[in-house]
Amino acid sequence: MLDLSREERLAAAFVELADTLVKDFDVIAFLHQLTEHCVDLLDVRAAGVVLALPDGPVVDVAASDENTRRLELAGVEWDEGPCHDCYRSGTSVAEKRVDDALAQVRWPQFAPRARQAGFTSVVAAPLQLRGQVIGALNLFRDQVHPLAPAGLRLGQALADTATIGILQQWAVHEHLSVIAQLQQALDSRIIIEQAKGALSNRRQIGVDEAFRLMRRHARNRRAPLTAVAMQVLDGTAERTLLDPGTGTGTETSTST
Amino acid sequence: MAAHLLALTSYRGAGMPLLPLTACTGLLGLDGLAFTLAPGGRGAELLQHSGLLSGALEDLQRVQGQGPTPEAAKQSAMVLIPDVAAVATDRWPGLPGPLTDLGIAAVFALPLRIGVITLGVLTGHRTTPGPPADGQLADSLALANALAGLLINLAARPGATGFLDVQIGDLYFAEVHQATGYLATELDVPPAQALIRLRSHAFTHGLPLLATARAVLHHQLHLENDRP
Repeated sequence: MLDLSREERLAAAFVELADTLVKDFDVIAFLHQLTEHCVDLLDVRAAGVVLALPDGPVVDVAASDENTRRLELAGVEWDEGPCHDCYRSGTSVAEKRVDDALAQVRWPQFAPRARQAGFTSVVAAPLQLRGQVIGALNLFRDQVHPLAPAGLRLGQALADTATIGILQQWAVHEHLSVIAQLQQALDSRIIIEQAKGALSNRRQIGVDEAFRLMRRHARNRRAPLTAVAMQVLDGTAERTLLDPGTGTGTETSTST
Repeated sequence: MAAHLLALTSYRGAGMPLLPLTACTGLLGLDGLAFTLAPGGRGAELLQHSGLLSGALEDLQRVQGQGPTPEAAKQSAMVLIPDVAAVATDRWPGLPGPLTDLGIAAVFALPLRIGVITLGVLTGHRTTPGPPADGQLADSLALANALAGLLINLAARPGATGFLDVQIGDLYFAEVHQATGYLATELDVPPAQALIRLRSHAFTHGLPLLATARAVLHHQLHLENDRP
């Protein structure tokens, strides 16, 4: 990476942050990458990011170094600091010094801790897409001159790209569970059909009659039909269900 | 077409509705449509269809384990075959001949997708060759989208695993699964192996899988255990 020009590193950062539809996606590692790109590409000393459920609690914190991560965690605990303000308001926090009287009023606990960590000012940009705010990115600085507007814009662009990536990943994850639901519905239907045939062969009865027996057995035992069907298939179901001339077949029939 | 799409998109019932496949078949310039469920591109199950040949088309692909429907499911991509007779011989060896014998000249399989996720396939066919008209392909894609949305809505409901139990959502190949269970017990083999026996019998004798399954269930066909 060091051999690449800043332009190339910039392009690589955007590609990397957009590429979340991979197997084994790890959101913490991804957020950590975002902070590292910020430190690499922007005139900042450290970067931290908090990720929160939309309108919910903070779920993850990552930072470019361990010191900064602890600072972010403390901010979450105290409910104060630029990340907190930015996430709550959904708008960016312009560069603020952490070593003046205003900072002391704004963030009574966060400001002294940030100074201790060696920072002089901080900027924050929201992770948001179409009004949905899922966290905030903090940029920590130790320079006297303010962060150039271009740098701030780039920070926001990186945050935006990361947001799209994370939301995309969440959406896919949600759909994956729907697929699992569909697959389960289908599997259970197929297992029941197979069990009808298996029981029909075992008892030498028609498939409709086999289904009626399975249903009644499941209802009498308060067992799910799919579970009974699986037991029929692997031969572990009760004898009264499996074998002809035994109880289930001659029990008083209840309407189905 | 728009009215059908709107009805599908706004459907909020709990079970699988009766789809307007017969009406859409005509509107799309086709002779049949088949709606196959294949979550994640696997385990394709025909749920509803229109036209006289759709069942046979899906049956044949099921016997052979190849064709436009399973390919669209697996690749999550459109498979457009405007002329079955012109398909390269190595694409689906042994499929174009029987398809032509059935009278099927063109097959268009569209994946039902939400983002990168495949939920099933919509397979249309025609008895005359030729590509779909531009508007008809666009309408077919819109129908595929509406069906994918319908599936997502049905599956995302709490307790949705029961939605296939309703009569209308019944599996076209239910008897194939029943015969599979029947044979598995008869031959004392796992269901997967019993299904292979069933398929290979259908394949060798040029029979539909469904007819083979019915013959087994009605004791008209006895498959012997082929192990020594």
